[in-house]
Amino acid sequence: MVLTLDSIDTVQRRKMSVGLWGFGGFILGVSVPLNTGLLGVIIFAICALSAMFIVHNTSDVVYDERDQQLHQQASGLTLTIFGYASATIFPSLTALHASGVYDWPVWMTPIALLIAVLYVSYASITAYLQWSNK
Amino acid sequence: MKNHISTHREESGLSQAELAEELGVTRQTINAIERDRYDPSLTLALQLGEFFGIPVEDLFDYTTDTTESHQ
Repeated sequence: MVLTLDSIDTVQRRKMSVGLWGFGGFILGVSVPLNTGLLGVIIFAICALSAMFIVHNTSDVVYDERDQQLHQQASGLTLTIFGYASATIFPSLTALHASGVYDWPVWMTPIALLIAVLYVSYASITAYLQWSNK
Repeated sequence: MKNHISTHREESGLSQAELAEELGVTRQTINAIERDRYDPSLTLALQLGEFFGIPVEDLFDYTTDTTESHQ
């Protein structure tokens, strides 16, 4: 039996699209330390476009409101976990640093900045949605 | 939320996949609603009521404890 794009069902489409995104991301991630970044970007782009094609090139519903709700819950939970962790870890490290007990490791700085950017983005989007839902 | 969707679906002679296609959702979503593992959106609940030709309150049993706390 030949597996064509028309013959695969929605569950297979979902698995294939998630697999392609994961594989593309993994290849992109390992391409940097292997000094094959350009090849990694090309493979990632092919995987990403293929994943989008697989999801959209069908009349079947691949993702619906239940998936949207799950993603919203997962996003909210992720933000909550990061929020509580950040609110605990970074002030503690800052206090220890200020009292001379502990030095901030260099690698922690971009993480702290990334968390700050994440929450500024979150606050901005929340404010925009509140404004647009008036 | 408890519901009677599987009863009405079977009376209509439809499979979960056929009902899902009619409503523009996945079969997994219909299965999750019937097994009381997912509460549909208001839009989908109204679509279900319209599809089966019955009021939405006859499809779902709204008997949560939250009704008492709002009074």
